[in-house]
Amino acid sequence: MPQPLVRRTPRALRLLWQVLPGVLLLVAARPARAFDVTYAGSGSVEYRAFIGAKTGTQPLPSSVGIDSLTLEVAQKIVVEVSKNINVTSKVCFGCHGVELDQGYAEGRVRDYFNIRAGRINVPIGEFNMRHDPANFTSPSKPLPYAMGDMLHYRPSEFNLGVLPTPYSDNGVELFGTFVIGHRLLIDYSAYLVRGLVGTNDLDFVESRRWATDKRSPTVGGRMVATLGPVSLGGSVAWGYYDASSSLAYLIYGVDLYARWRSLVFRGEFIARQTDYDQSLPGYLYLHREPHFLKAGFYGQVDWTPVEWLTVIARADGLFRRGMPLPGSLIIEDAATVIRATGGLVMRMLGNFMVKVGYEYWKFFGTPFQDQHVVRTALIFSY
Amino acid sequence: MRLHRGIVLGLLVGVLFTAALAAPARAAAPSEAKKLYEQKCLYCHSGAAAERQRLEPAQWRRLIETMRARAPLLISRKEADVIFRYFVNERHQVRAAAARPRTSAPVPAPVPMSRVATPPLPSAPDERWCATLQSCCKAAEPPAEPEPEPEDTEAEERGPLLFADRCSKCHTLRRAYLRIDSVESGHALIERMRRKMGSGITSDDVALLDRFLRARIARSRPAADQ
Repeated sequence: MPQPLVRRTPRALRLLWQVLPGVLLLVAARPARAFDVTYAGSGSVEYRAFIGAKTGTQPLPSSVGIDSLTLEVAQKIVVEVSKNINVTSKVCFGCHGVELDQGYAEGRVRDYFNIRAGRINVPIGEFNMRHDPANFTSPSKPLPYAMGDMLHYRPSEFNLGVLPTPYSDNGVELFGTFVIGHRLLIDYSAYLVRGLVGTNDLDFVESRRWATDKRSPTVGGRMVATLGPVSLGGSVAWGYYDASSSLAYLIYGVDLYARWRSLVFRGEFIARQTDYDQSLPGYLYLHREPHFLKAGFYGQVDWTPVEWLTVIARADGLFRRGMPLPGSLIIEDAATVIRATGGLVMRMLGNFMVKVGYEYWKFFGTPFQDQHVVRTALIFSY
Repeated sequence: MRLHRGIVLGLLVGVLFTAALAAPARAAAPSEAKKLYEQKCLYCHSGAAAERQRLEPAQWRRLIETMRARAPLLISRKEADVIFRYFVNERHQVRAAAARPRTSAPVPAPVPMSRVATPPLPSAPDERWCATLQSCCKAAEPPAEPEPEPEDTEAEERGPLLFADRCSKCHTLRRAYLRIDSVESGHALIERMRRKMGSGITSDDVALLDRFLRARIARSRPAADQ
């Protein structure tokens, strides 16, 4: 009987562990009326429709049990314990059940030196910092950061994007800002987190679990330079993902934000180089490199002609280069998906927002058919 | 089945697109006041609710001032005056019972909202509207005359632009506006956001935004606190 890779805790215990920080925070905050408490939250209902036949027979994840219909709810509480310390807790519900997205304490020492510890949103790339559906305008996440809303996302297919978002992890982060000449801001972040988990390629289901047999952490950093309405950022992260600390991954990327009047441009490129286990049987080709590469990009323009309406145009893509893994439906050493998106965001009433969008998916080097997808979403935030 | 569902949803999206495109087409050249009304009032209210009402000018003043007190960052004093004139002069949404002829005669030059003597609410010109009005401004009795505060013109002019530029980088502007309800909480929030990666908020920005919050909120506090 082989030893299981991960010793799993009972579901009820995991759930308790996940909601406990939020409950404790509520209890702790209640008598402390002197504390400044900020509540924020959002809810999103999204539906996808396929124009023409859906490729294959894969079901699409649904948090409400109806194919293609998803519900996401998030509640965030920030308690300003003192002028320099705050505690943040954010719990969300979606396709993966109840998750603790954020649960950390933050100490502000100086502008150029602050510390955050607990369960944090790991600062890789720009999109991961605004992954809440109420905080991004596009009808879906960009392909490098896609989760279950991606077509052919399964491990035997593309195995999701470069880094599925939201990416939360347990660890500690140092961060701060340097100001140069009153106008140029240099933000930095350096962190140590548990890191992603897997055996032969990353396993994003295992990566969400709190208890794993991983031995080594992941280190990384991010830097952003901001001058007026333009920001340029870069990110890097490195670590081992297997239990024996022999298979590593390296993530790196650059991102750009610019704003001109009612136009906002966002662009990002992010790549992940992942070692694979060459000792396993079933590979189709001779080994040349001990790793494969996944890279993705997006470029998006938002135009807001009137306050209640934003028009969106986006192009994004995901590339996979390198040895196909055993059992994968992708058998070429180069596979690509490109997507074109048009969408509208309408802020019609109060805190409600409606997103509608059309996407055209085109695949190269895969057995998958091109696809037309229409998305609609109703979002509430406060 | 899926094809039918796709067609139905496609039609739905088409209707939404058409509606979205038709709305600005109807308002080919809206006046500045109308634009302001759309930007500020329709932030939270439907057009149908606002445009079918008939109130006396003093009631309009009181209602708009109440809304300004509730969202001082969203609606400035000058904007409140423009919106008031839009309802009374342009749309003529004045109650017939008020014995005011529905002419286009301009309303006298605006006076500070807090100094307007407002008559008591009418008995029931429109029950639904009054219920909304009363729930919104149940505490908005004529405020005591506040001490006039010096105008911070720079903060009033640059503050909203700066607020929009910085906050809408990661959040919808509406969400940011509705989040802040006091100078203290606003300052704490902005300080926390300043430390977010790539926020672009400098300490100079914080100082200006603080002045902006203080100018807007402090001035509306007498009405809001009652």
